[in-house]
Amino acid sequence: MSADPRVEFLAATLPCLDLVYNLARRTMPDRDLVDDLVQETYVRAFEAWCSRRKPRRVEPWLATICLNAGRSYWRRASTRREVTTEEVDLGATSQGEVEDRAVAQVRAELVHQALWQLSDEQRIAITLMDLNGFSASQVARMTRSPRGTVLSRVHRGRKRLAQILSKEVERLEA
Amino acid sequence: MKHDPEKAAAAYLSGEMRGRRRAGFEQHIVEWEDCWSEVQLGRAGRSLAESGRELGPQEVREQVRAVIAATSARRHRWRLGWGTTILSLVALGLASLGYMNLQSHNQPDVIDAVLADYRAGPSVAQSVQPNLPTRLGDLHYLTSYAGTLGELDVVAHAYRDPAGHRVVVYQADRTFPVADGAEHSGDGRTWSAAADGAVLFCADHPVPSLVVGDDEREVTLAARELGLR
Repeated sequence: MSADPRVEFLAATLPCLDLVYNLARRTMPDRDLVDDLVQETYVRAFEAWCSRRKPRRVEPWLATICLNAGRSYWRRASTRREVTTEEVDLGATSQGEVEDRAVAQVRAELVHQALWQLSDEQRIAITLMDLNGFSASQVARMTRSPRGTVLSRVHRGRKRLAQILSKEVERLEA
Repeated sequence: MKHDPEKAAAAYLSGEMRGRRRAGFEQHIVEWEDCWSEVQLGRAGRSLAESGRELGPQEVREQVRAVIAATSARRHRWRLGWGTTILSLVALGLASLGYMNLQSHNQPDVIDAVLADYRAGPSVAQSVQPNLPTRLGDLHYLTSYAGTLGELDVVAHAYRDPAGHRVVVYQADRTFPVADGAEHSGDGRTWSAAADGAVLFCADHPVPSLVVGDDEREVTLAARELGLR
């Protein structure tokens, strides 16, 4: 008797949910759309899985599916994306009035907002390399771009991010 | 040293520059202010980017589980549809030859429809917000949907236990018909039955409910957790 494919699929792919979620968060500006993209990614992956197209490595496979699903969405959508982010009060953190967890949340949200000020290519390259730990070669394959281009995008994106959040950088170095 | 500062800094910071090339680049950035500041800025940006990493929320995890269960159910329903068609054709052929009596059971339409819905898995009918607990003992909530089964409007809430047993709680605004072969409880307020490989438990309080599952223990557990009587 063969194993339930759902159990096998979820056991292999659910540990990668953080990866897919972080990528979806940098692909879709709206929380609801993020959830939709995560689900769409898993449905597409499951259909491929059931079609005997199991990957050798799950992480880059899921990331590629997520990127393709995101591209499909934006091809269908006629409107230009607009970033909707939560209100962040940076002043409160500098006064030491909030707990560490809240500070981390504020910081993450600031970084998230700053990432959305980068170009799509830079944001995706940074997300894949710095947040998800893929190599430049892997990102090059996923995004169908030359490796050198990926490295340039990542570096320019990092510099821009540092410039946008220069005050945060000062606090980091202090 | 001949190099593209951007690509070199990115490769260096990402740990993709190794061996003598890395040592050479490190020697170079010590001597060249522009490249040093390029690396410093890139390092700061990378550190910031890493601090933006988030954990996938638990509800997204549960949504993924539910959507995979539903995807599988659609496939199962498709296969069941073909199987049902073939069986129907065979039964029709046999009946036309007068070899068998097609009256295999006398379940009320609503019960037949409920059993068919249970076998098909979560319906594509209108999705609704759950109004029942997300856990019933070791049963985990999957999804809720509304529809009409045999002219009775119902809201269904699907659960699954770790062993894969499914339980669906059907709720309606009026009493479910009694299944053929049902056994009533001592006070006559609830009944249970076995039909088509499924176990059924029905009660009218606190709301008319019919619990269907493939495991008697889980059906009983769900009914008890919901306080059906």
